[in-house]
Amino acid sequence: MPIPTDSLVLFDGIDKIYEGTAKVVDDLHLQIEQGEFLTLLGPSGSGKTTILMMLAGCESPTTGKILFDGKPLNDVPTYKRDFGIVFQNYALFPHMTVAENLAFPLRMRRIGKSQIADQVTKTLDMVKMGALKDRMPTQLSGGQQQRVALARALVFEPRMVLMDEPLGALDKQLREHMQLEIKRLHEQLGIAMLYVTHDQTEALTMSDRIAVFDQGRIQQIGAPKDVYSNPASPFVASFMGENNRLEGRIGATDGGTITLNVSDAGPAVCAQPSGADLSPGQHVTAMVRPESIWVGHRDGCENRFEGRITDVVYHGDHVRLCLVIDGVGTLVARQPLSDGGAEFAPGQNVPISWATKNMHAFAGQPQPATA
Amino acid sequence: MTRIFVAISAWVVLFFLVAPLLVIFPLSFSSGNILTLPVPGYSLQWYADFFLTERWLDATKNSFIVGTATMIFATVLGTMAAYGINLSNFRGKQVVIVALSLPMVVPLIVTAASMYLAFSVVGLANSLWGLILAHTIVATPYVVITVLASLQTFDANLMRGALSLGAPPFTAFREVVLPMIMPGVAAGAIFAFATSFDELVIAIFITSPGEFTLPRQMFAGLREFLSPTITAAAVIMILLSFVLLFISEAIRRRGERLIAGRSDH
Repeated sequence: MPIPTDSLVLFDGIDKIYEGTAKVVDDLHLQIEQGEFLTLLGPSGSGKTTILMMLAGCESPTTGKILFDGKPLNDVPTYKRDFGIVFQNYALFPHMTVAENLAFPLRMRRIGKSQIADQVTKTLDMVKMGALKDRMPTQLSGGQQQRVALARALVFEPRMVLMDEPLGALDKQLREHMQLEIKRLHEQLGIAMLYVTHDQTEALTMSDRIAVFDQGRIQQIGAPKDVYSNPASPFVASFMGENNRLEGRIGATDGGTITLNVSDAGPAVCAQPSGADLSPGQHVTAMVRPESIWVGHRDGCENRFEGRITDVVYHGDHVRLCLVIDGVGTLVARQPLSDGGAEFAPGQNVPISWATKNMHAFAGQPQPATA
Repeated sequence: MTRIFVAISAWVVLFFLVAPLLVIFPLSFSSGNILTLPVPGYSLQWYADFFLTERWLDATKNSFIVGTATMIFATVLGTMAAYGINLSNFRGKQVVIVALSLPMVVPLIVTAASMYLAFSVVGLANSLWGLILAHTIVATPYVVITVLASLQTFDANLMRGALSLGAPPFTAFREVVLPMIMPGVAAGAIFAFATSFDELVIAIFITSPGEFTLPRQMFAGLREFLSPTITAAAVIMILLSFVLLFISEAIRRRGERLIAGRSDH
């Protein structure tokens, strides 16, 4: 019986257990909306690829149901699911030319020859590969193969596109370029895409929503901005970009703010509590991003300290500073540059500040990031 | 110094391996009536005998029938078995692989005798079908092994890719898997044909005089008639083996080119 839902895909209580292993996917409840770009983000072994493979029909769930358009998908074989899949290693057929690779799904659908030719040309032009249609896949560069794989997944106008770390094998510059290309295609075609990656930058750049996975469970799901600026757990905070971490005990709680002491003698630090209720005396981990820390006492920054620069690393458009605040600890700050970074030097004493809302406090011992 | 020594040794070993074959060539062109070297003169009489005697022609025909049928059955069965084994992971997989290769290691005479006894019960002894069946059992493991080897380098994502693009499993296998593992399949097929084509022991047990294969006829020729025609038959078989060798090498190279990309673009 179909469960009423407007979502395109519904994972309903999915478990996946391989023989002799712990749960790879643990009680997954997840919806993918029409036209959405959803990214599954997590370290390797977090179950994200397994989820994609279950949706693709290459793996079957141990328990639970997957619905597509309100209809159960569990017993539908892969070849009837009508999803375009881009594999990590592209899986282009090495014995067929680029054009033959693209024609394959159309031939399977018994489409006429002239229409196949039109559709192949149109789709290859869309990914700017029209000129290379008679090449063999092995004669293409990694980036070109990636484009062909993408085109082959789109050419038959699938109901959805699934991508498993499609940019993992490309160099940084190409990867950033392809991120924008994929985003452009998504906007142009309006088709729902499920994207699996362990690269948080990729997830932030492209997604409508990000689901952060660890140990087979969703740790947090939401828009990139929310997940980045309001992480729900120390794991998410440290997996989504870089974070400074302070550990201490809560001195006082006051509505939406807590104060914590890293050491007995040190100054109190203000932070915004995340998740569970926190009470005085409890052990907490507080996290703040390098780009949220300012050299100088800035307006609206409640945490104001005097510190010392111990190290300056030049990065072209910005510098990274190691700052020591007595009684608080060492923090990394990222400062934009205007005149070559001459204003910062090791040994300098500087004022330091950051806003309470940019420092998130989590209860208990922190989990180490496994990225 | 060592280089020369290695070269000389290599040539000596090669000569040792090939010399018995070389003896048969002059003998087959002998103008004499008995098998002796040196030959008294040269003549094509034994080739004429081979190609004009019904006994020899029938035997050749039977060998091709049995060889081809064995090749087809063994290739289909062996390829399916190898693909299935490669695809699945189950307890006792190694046991299955070993069991499949048993016909290769069990002494042929044992296989032949037991098949003769078993086939007699069901009325397959003394028939070409019985021989085809027996040869298929012996030849299939070669196909399993060569196909398993070529599947080692096959990327399972290609099959998944084909399925995701809408190809039903059998179509996906035929259009994507088969072209990629073709070198292994072809090598297995040629092994299967060759195994059947030069097999004597089972043929002795299972064929009746009207249905002799070429090796069986040669054996009879040697024992019963001592006819030098067997040397002509031997030369023909050697040449055929060379042809098979070239075919398998050509297929292997074509397969490599296929994976490496066509060079004419």
